[in-house]
Amino acid sequence: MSVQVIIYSSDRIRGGILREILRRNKTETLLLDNIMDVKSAISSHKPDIAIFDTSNSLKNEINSLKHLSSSIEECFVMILGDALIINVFHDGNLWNKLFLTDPLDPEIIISKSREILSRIQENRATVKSSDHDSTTAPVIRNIENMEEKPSVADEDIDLVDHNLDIEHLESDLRQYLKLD
Amino acid sequence: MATDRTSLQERLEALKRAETDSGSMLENDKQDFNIDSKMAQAEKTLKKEVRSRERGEGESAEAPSGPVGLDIGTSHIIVAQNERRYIRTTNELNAFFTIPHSKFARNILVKNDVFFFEQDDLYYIVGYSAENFANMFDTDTRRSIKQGLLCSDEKEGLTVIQAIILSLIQKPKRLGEILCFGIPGDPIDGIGSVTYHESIIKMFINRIGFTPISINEGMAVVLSELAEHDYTGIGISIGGGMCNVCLSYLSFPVLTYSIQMGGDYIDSSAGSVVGIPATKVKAIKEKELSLIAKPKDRLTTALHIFYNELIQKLQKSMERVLSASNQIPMISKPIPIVLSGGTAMPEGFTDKFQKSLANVRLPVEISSVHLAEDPLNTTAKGALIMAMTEETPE
Repeated sequence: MSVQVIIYSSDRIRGGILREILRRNKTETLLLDNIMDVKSAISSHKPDIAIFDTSNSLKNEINSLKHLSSSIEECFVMILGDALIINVFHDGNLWNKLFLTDPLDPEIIISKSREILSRIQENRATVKSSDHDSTTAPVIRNIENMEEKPSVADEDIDLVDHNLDIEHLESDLRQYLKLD
Repeated sequence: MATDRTSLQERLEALKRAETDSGSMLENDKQDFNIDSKMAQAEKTLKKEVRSRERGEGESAEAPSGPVGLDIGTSHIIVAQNERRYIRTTNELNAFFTIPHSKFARNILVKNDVFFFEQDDLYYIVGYSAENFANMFDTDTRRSIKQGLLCSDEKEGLTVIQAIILSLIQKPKRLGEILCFGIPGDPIDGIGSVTYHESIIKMFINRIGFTPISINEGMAVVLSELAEHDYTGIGISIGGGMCNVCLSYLSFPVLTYSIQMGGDYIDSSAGSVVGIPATKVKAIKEKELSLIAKPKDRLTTALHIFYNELIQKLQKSMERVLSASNQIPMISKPIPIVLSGGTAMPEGFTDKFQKSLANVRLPVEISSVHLAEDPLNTTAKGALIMAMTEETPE
């Protein structure tokens, strides 16, 4: 079974809703409520999107998710939940992240997933046709250039926070050049 | 309380899409076929006519040959079973009345096919027979369930419930048959443990030979009535002891709660102001109350007043609970409200509810308010649908 989206949610109802709306959108999903399973599912299924719903999660689960999300480079990550909790995730790699604050908005999640999945498809087709190596990273990096829709989340939190992204790149560069 | 929080669709999908890479295609196909056929059967059942009746005097229980839906309400206990062309529901009054032990009394009870059992030098007259006795003695029946939950004041309450259930259903033909029963949502304003209530009933049902699963009463209303709305909307069961509310989204019970106020509150409040026993008020209310017509006497005036109070309290609770919740997803379309339960049955109740809704502000837009097709049997029917979609353990 090819899984396009992996959902982590410790909230049975929200997780179920996420899976159901994606299923209705003909997207193959896998719903998990255990972070260890999420880690192994990401490496075994190689999904295009990982959705981390932080609602109802314990503090140590949030920390694990934060750690996991910053180390994932293989797929796009959507982080859902309360604005205060989501703020915790605003460091590390941001180029493949999307932050959506509560309330849960099924329509936005669907439209963003569609956008991401279709862009991935397009990129795969382009990479294939130009006969390059089909590594995952270039595919995802192109998602950055996705046309932004108006933010549905808090006014303070953009769907992809480009300011933080640039700051982070700068800091990486400074570190690399040993300017600090 | 795991089962009631699980949606019909979720469980179906969990089974249908068995998320495993292992296992032969043949097994998966077989499983898919089973689930599809169960779902098709449940959806077909939703369209069937409900044939409802009171348990006959002296009538013995049947051994079910399929899944069973059970509604253990404050005032009635109802069993629903799927027949070939219709859904059959049988109900019994959830009330009792005690009289002292004597040989003479026993002979009278046996001779008249009165439903009773004997305990601690008392005869416990159960069900509709208890109501007849209470009216005869111009007093009230006693209840095994108060305000939706097992009553702590009545130590034989559970025995009464067990006797009523056993008068409606026997041990199933196939051991481990699924029986789904309705449970209330956590009361927002009162006391009492839903967990205790649920666990005690589960233990008893298990002992008869069924596999018990539970469903929130409001969710059962949604399953029974809102298939055409993708199981999205608000189901409200307004029973004898409480009002149960469930906001469901795509068959997921996003928010459930209850208020411990219902028909019994109306009966006892109206009865106390006019000096009539609540049991008599109930009988008059069920027979002739119309909330459209102007009140014609002191009793109907009191009933109108307490009905208004119930509606206002229920809607205010919806405003408070729904507004305070961060669980509700963004729902772009207006959603329906469906009302059920015996207390919602008087003529004009739905209109009154709809008009009064303008006085509260809900975080979701409401498209319509309607009364369930068969308000007394809605919870039992929803529980039956849930039972039919559950896999029977091997």
